Amino acid sequence: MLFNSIDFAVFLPIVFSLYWFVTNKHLKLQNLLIVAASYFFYGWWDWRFLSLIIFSTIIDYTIGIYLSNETKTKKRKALLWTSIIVNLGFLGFFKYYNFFLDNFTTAFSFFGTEISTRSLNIILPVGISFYTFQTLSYSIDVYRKKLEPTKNIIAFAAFVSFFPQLVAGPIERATNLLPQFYKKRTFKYQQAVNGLRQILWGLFKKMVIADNCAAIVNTIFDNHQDYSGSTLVLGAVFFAFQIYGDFSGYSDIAIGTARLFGFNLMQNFAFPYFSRDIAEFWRRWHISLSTWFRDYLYIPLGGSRGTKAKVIRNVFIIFIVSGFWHGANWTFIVWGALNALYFLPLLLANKNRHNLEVVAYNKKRPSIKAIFSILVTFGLTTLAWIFFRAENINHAFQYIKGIFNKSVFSIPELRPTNILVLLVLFISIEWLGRRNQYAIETIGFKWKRPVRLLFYYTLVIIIFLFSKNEETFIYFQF
Amino acid sequence: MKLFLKNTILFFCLLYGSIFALVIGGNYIINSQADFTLKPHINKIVLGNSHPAGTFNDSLISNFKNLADPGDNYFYGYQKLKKIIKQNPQVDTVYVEFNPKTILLWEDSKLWKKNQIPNYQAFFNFNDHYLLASINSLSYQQDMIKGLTTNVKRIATNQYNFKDSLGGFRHVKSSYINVILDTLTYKNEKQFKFNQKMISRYDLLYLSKMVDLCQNKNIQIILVRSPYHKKFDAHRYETIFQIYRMEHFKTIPFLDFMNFPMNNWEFKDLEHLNFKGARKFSLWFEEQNL
Repeated sequence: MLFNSIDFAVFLPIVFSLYWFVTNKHLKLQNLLIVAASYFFYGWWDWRFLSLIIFSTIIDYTIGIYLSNETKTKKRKALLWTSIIVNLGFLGFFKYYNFFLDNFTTAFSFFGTEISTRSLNIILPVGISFYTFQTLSYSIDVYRKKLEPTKNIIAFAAFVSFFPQLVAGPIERATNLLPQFYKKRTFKYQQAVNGLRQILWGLFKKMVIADNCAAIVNTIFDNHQDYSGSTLVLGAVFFAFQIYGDFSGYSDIAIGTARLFGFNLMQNFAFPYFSRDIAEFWRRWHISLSTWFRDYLYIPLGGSRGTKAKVIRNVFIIFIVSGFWHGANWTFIVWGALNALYFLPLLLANKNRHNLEVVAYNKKRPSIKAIFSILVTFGLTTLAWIFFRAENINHAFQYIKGIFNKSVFSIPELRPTNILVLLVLFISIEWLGRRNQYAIETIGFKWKRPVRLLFYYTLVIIIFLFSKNEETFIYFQF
Repeated sequence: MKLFLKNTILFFCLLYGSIFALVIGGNYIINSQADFTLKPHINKIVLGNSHPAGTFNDSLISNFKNLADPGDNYFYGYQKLKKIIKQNPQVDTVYVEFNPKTILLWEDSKLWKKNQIPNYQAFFNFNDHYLLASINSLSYQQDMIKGLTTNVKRIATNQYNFKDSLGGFRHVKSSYINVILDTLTYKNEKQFKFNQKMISRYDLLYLSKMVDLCQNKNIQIILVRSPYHKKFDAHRYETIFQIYRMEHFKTIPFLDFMNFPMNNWEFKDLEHLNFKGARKFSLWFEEQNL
């Protein structure tokens, strides 16, 4: 079920009403409703893959119980590895089987040995990369004794399948989300209104910014050989906004929806395109995934401690794995490696934690230096996005080759004025709201009520006027 | 909770209430002002999609107006026909494009294509609104609001001329036929079997409505198949088409120009004529006085 669909517009009020009016007196019943609603939400797409979620839930729940009773390190490790193998096994099979098979065959043929293999027609279950990481975080935290294992299977099933963030995150930590299922939720007006506001902004990002950019991006990327360098730059910039609008829009809707049910999810995007260096960008982009890799992969590998060679190795591992998480394609691996290359100089020069506050935090306007840094960072990020969007490595290189010639100084063939106007409006609002969790969180608080309402109505009307039909979210494929 | 529900409901009521009032008001003004009046001597019109739009050169055919519009399906043809008949009592013959492609399921998807809803929404009746809203309510809401701005623009600029803005002869100079023929891979002699699932569920109802409307007003309605190339893939649906036609429109006259003699250079592509083909056909049509 897509957030930007009528199905969801019907589903949400029904679940909301049942949650607050029918099951509100019994915590267990409320959690059970969340599980049922989440399974329905997921099953609406393909009920067959519900079995994967249920299996993953049972496995990690059971492992958690066993871990709490087990004191021997060897056995505890074995239990943890069972969880890792089961979860990553599913992910590996559904997401990477054909990729490894193809590359295996190619590698053999390179050495002159032809082997016959049969690739499978595998459907990638929506959200598998997200919920497997979420359940893994539970097992690892229990193993590390950071979290008491739950004995409440309904709460645990609700944690794994919580519908707002089930298919595209944020990837919640058990330490943050699971305890929220143990406590009775009380309806808070401000939290619910805040949730609705965040949903509205998420819909704007997805349906207006991302979907409109997508139309241009697809045209340019699919026919890159027909366009001048300047148009290709435009296509790459539009893709940067498409992916940001798409994914952060989803996160906003997810977080906003969770608020309606009395839950607080972690912030997943913190205005990444206002970053002044790549390290800051990665602290602001897909925060739930970046911190997941940091805590469960980078730090266990040694992080930034140890020899320079080890630090470089760790940085490359984390970025390449992060790239590979996005999809079984060399383009994502190159994208990850390129970001590692961007990041390394900052880390080695010990400048990776220079920009912790958002730009111009206590000022109205940024300095010239900050503007320059933002533009350079955005340019580097956009260059890397070309690999992310391209069909294959060759496509990406052809695209980049098309940019770097004289035609980059010509007037672009495509000049979508209305989208450019929308982007300017979007960036302006994001700038005004950059100190908050999401752009319109506090915008208009000092205005009179009718003016504030007019602002929200304008956003709704823009969504209707500029949105396309239901378009799926990019991150569903990851 | 009560306050939250009250405010949320109020927010949506105000939103939809205002939109509803503006749509109704705008539609009323457009509907009452819309100008579909043809020249008094024109008593024949043709409706349909890009096929007739590129076939009937109305400057070469007497008393004839081409109102076909590329991408139009029967739903929009019906909306146009309602207004034309109402404002032009002299019209006595209506030609409507009818070929294997216009009966297929994909015609239903054209309800949403080309952003036609904003142009026509002023002429919809309740059933038309219901149909659109029930099939795809999200797009319906989006298009209603887009229609609102279209209406405002028309009202603000005093632009009520519809007869020239919603269709007309399409003068096409180009021809890609040789390239297409070089790369053609399918065998068009292969026939698909009749399957109800392949047939339009909604749009064809509007062809029946067009027939009923004309018959009620004693206007001659003639189904017409514009010429297309012998390699056009519509040939593969010929069996389906004939079964459907005999079952539903057996009594309606059908002018079939499928095999009208044309040279390759008179086509734009496999399904459309270019201006040379249109000229040849239109002169012949005029001569025949059909």
